[in-house]
Amino acid sequence: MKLNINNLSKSYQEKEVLKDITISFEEGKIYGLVGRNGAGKTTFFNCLNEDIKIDFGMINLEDELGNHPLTYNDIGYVTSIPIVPEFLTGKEFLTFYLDINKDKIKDRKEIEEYFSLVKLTKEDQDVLLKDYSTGMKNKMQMLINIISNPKVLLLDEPLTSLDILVQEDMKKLLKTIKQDHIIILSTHILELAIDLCDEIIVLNNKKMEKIEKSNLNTKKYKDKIINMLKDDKNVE
Amino acid sequence: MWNSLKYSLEIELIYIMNSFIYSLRKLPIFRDLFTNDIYKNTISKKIIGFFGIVFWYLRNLFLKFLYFYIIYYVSIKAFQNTSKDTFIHIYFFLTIIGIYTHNYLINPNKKKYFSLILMNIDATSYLRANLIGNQIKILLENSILLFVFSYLLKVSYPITILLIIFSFFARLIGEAGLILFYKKYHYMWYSNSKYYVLIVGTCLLLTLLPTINIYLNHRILLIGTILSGILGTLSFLYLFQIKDYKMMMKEIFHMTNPMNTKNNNEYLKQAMIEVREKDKKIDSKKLQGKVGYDYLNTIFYERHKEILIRSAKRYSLILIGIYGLVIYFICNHLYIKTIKDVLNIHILYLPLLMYFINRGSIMTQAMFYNCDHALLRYNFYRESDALLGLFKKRLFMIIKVNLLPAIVIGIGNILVYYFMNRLDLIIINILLIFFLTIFFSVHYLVMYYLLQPYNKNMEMKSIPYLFVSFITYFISFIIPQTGLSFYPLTILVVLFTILYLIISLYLIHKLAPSTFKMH
Repeated sequence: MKLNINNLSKSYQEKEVLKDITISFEEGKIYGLVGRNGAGKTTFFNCLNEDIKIDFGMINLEDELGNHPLTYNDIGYVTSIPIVPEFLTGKEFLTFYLDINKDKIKDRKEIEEYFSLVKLTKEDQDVLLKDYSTGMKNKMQMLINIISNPKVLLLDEPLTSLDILVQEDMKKLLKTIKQDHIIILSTHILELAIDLCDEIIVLNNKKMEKIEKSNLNTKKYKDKIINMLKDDKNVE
Repeated sequence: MWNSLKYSLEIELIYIMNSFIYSLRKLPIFRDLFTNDIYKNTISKKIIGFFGIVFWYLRNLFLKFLYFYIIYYVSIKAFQNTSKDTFIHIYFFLTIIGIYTHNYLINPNKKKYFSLILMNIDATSYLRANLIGNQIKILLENSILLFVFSYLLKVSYPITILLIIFSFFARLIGEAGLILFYKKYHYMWYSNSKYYVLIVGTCLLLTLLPTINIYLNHRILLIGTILSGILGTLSFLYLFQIKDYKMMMKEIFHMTNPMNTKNNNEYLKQAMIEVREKDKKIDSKKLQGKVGYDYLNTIFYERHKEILIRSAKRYSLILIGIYGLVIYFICNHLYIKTIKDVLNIHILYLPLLMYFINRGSIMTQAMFYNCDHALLRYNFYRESDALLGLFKKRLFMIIKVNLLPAIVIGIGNILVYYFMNRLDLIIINILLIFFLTIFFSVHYLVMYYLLQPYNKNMEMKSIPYLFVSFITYFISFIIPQTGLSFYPLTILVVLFTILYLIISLYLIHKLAPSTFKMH
């Protein structure tokens, strides 16, 4: 499975954010998207998720159905600030979600099993989501997004607000599910990107570039990325 | 202090200018005309901003004028022989309601947040400057409008001056009273719905006294003005020495997060998002056999039952009171001629009445704040079949809530017809009320799905939505002026509602997946 982006451009009135981007993402890999504030990472995700219209370009998914335009049905999108329907309990939200997506979910498991996947206890399940901590909401959002098995999983700063232990749980979870997904994760924490991701992509000067690690050690790889981001001509 | 006034005014003016430009740019014709450069301090910004400020001020002045005009209109139309006394009476008691319901010093809004927290303007000076600035504005506007309407009604100058003084000091009492109350109980007095109904209800009943020929005595007005003068002066002195204004506002901002909405009455929104403790537990029988969107909608309704039907209940109670009064008049042979006259035209006013009692906009607001705001972030929620399914469930829910006051109006009218021997109107009455309830319920839900007027910060910033709302109001308002006969009107409403419902279902299925999303 492959996600192919060809000549993608997006502007907000006279401000060009993404310019003629051509890039491919493959199944089984976690991609780390790094860029300076305002570089266009969230815009890129919003373009893929059809939240905003693109100005030009093609976004296609190559899978068992052939090469077809990517639609929001193929995507799971985890936003940086977890937003969940606060009037439902965790269990009610999951029950509702499983009902709605019953045709899409293969090997449906028991509700308890799903909760144990993100380590939410039995007591937590019957609490209103409004009374969940940010970390718990984040886990819930992540769970909902991976259950229906979307082909492409977009994660916008997913681990920033989590405590260290939850972060580790989430990293393990992502590594487990990456085999069947294309995962793109945006982050400002370079260490996290290097530690978790199989490939790093820098978004700078409206362009995207994969940074090859080749024979570099972690320190040199990190410096290479920072130098790319520092490059003055890359900043508007 | 004057510097604080100057800074806060500057912030307010820049805010109005930029908001006006921002709203204009949302319209397709202006989108391409104004680029991002418009926000730079250019001449075109100043010109557009000037119009924005003029528009904003005229709108506020117009609303104030409308307030006076409605009192004037009611006084001259309903109480032709005593219109002067009625005007004084209604204005006096509505001003007392205003003490309780209006305030400018501690209502949390973005402009205050910018000034006090972001710009760190000295809070005590800010409070004093705003107090003086607002009081001068109230004094000038009230004086001009009161003199105009008093002149039209031939109210004597001393009485007009008493009313001006009374309203000037009344506002000070309201401001000081609310702050004292807030300091003691840590919430705004008007956000307690029981007190609200009790106080506003009592004052409204007092306002209605002219209907039984009781008017405010000039001596009471004089005593009221003297009292308000004394209490108002004490209030002014109290407000002028407040030192912990910033702490108080910080606490209020913390609770209400003014940056998340432009609605000034934040406490209402807080209450709207709140799930009450007693509603957390849902009787499992109610969820039995329900799946998917039916399951979601049932939980939504059960957890927000109070919020969703609260205002419908209030309206129903007020309507029961009004119908009770009318039936009391009929039984005692009072105002029979007026009631007969009203019966000859009242059917034409039903669309306007149903427009006002419709709770569709509040319910869609609750849907957005409490449910869709979160679920629209998930892609499964945007599929057309799902949207249509949920739309239908919600439509039934809105109709169910709107039927509560509609049934009160229906039964109230039938009782009046019975006592006035106008049983010929019953069928038209039932048909119109039923179909108008359905129409307005569908209409607000369709507008919500097709124009989704809220943004990510839960602010309503959609000019098309406001425009359609205005057109709806305008058509409801204009129907009585058309002089249509009752039967054609009924047939028109029935046919239009059926057609509108069919078209709406089609449009929701086709368009909502692309229109019903986060902006």
